[in-house]
Amino acid sequence: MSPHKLVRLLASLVVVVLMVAPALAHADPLDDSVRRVALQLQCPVCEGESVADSPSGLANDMRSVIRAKIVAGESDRQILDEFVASYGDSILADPPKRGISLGVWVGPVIGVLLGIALVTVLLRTWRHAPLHPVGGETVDPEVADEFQHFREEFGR
Amino acid sequence: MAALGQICIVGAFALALYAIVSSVVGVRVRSGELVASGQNAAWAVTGLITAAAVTLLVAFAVHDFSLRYVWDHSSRAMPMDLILAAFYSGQQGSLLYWAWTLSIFSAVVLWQQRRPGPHRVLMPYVIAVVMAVLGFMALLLGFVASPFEALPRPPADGVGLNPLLYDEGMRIHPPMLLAGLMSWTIPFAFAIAALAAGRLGNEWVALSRRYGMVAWVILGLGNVLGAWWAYHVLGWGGYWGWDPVENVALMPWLVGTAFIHSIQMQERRGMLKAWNLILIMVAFFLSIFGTFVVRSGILASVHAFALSAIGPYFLTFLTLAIVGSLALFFWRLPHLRSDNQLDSLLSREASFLINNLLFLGVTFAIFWGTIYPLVAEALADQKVSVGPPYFKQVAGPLLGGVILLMGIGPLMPWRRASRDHLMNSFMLPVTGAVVGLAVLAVLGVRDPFAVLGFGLCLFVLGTVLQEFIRGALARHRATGENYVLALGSLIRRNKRRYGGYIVHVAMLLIGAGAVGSQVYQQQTQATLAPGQSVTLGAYTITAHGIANNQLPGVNVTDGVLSVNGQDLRPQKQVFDNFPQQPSTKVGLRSTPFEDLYVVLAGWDGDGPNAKVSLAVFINPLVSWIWAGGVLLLLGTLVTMWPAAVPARERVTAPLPRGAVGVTS
Repeated sequence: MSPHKLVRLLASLVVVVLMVAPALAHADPLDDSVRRVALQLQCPVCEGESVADSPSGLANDMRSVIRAKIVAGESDRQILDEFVASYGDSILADPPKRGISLGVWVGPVIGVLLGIALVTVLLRTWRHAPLHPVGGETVDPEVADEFQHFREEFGR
Repeated sequence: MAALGQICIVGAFALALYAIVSSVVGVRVRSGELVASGQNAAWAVTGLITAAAVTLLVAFAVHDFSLRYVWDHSSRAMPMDLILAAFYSGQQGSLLYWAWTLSIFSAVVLWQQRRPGPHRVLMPYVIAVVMAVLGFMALLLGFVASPFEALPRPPADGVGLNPLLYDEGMRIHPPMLLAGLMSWTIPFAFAIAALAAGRLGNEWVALSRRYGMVAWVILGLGNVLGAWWAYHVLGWGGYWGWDPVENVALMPWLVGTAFIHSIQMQERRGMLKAWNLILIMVAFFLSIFGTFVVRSGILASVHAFALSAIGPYFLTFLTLAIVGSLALFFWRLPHLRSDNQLDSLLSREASFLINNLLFLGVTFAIFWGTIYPLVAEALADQKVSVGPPYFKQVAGPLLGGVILLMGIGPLMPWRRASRDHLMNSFMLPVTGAVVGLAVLAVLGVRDPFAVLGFGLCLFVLGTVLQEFIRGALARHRATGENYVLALGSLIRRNKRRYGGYIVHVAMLLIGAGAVGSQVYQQQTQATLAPGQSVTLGAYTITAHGIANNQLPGVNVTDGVLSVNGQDLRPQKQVFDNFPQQPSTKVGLRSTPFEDLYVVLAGWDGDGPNAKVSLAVFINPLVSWIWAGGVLLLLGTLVTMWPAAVPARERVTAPLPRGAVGVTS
């Protein structure tokens, strides 16, 4: 690629960058904090919606509770723990890494490790043992033994 | 109507069974007549299912509320296009739609493969597999979940459509998604046919790859349209909630993506023969699983599963399909040896292997998270919720790996890459990405997730641009065509390769859109009296009360707002038949770089004096995701565009008597 092509490529990257730029202002920090906590809680009366996203009355009340607790100076951890104390672990959108919920985290790790092991084994067999031997048949060990025996018996 | 529809379905069921037996027996005893008869039966099944579908459509069109399904999903007040969309809005109708589209797809395949050729030996088995699936669907539609169930005394008017489905997206997203799920049956059928016939050469590979691409693009578009629909209708500011219904439609697409990549290893190098069969089987199993979950809601709990009428049937069918496919697979396994060995870890082959690892890894993680609540409930009787944070944490890094590989893989040569080749290929894209990230950092993009995500996208974009530019330059030098012409003929001459790159760029758009909207979303809520304003980002939203309209069957409330002086009206609609389910029309102001997304959450009072409660979001780069969907379609069309008809024609004149020659 000639230098002016490089310049053109970089220029187009800069254009992409400038297009992203308007995204960078920020809103009321309290709203963001309420949303951050509410996103981690599963709305107890809805199907698969977080407290932050659910339009239900209960979720709305829970958001007010979160807001009040943040204003009172509680940490995110404390607020979540209080909700767990009253609703149980299933209120957490992010399953906790303990008890029965641990399984959901362990599964993919085991899955990916098995996959890596499989690919590694596959790569090794492919690289070190050609499946179709090139240049002549490999010798069956049984035949080789017999041949050895034959040579010993008849003195080479 | 009820009787007519029912007869068609039962007839289709019987003929599907006949087609299976006739095709398989015919090919086994080498009876061309039986095989032809099986094929005719397959055409007849398509005809009967089409007749059943048309019957149901007519019943909807003439408001025949003597059918329970019509009564339950439409009403006289609905506009005609929505009434026709109501066809696939419930369980029975959508299963019929699924079967109907599959029967049409199989007819297209029969028509396309009608000419004699080496693939002909596969066709009886392909017919048998497709007919087994259609026969199962006809069994469900005829005897378990019939859309033609009659009501003893027809009511005067119907219940109407679920309010969530009153949307433009409804007209296109469910049919696309269901069609995407059904279409994996065809490449699967070719794989099974190859196993059954013992023809494990290249015939099934080429056909399965081609039909797999069709399934892939339909399901991909279905998923993008589903996201688009959720974004416009559900009103929570996002487009993908990692809901079970979304996950089960994504999984076959992910495995299918692995398949359409991995199958090239077999085409080019005769490797991964066994693995590709497994991949297409898994894609098919997951799409059956997906169809079942989408239409039954069984993942909510074990009890819903047990109560679902179609649940046990689906489970049985899926089990039989898995056992049967695996039995065939292991029977033929000795014939599935690789023709070649791997020469280097720095090769296209190795990058395809890693691609498979990542796609299967992410699919497994999603599958596990989706079914885990069910597993935990069944085994330990405990309620577990697995929400978006799990999926983001587990799937995020793996999908990042996929994007990285999208930059590396296509530039890797087959067999072995040299050091010079690597330098030559990656120097510019890496430099470009680093410079791009530096500029982004100056502009304030410093969030580690965003830096990583945008950095990967920039790198891959660089590799793709470099490929296009280098290719066009080389062509310009070789042929003297001008640059635009050279680019055009470059793409025309290598449709698969450059179409693939276009699809990769589509994925980059979707990826960048996801990163941008994920990291830089802003939101606020406000309750505003008339004249009051709330400001978010560059937008000042001023409230002017509400406007209420009673339309036939629906009460529509507009929040009357102005955004920086321009009118914006988010809506709430309350349908007379569903007072407890108000539906949302988001007030959206879309620009290429960010969306202002306003939801009317509630109001107090009436007319211009009402106070309105708003949820306001700024969602950066969401339009890129929709643009990615469009480009995905375009790129796939490029890869699949048929080659120009050759100017030469086959000479069909008979040889003169006594001529000596080799006939083929």
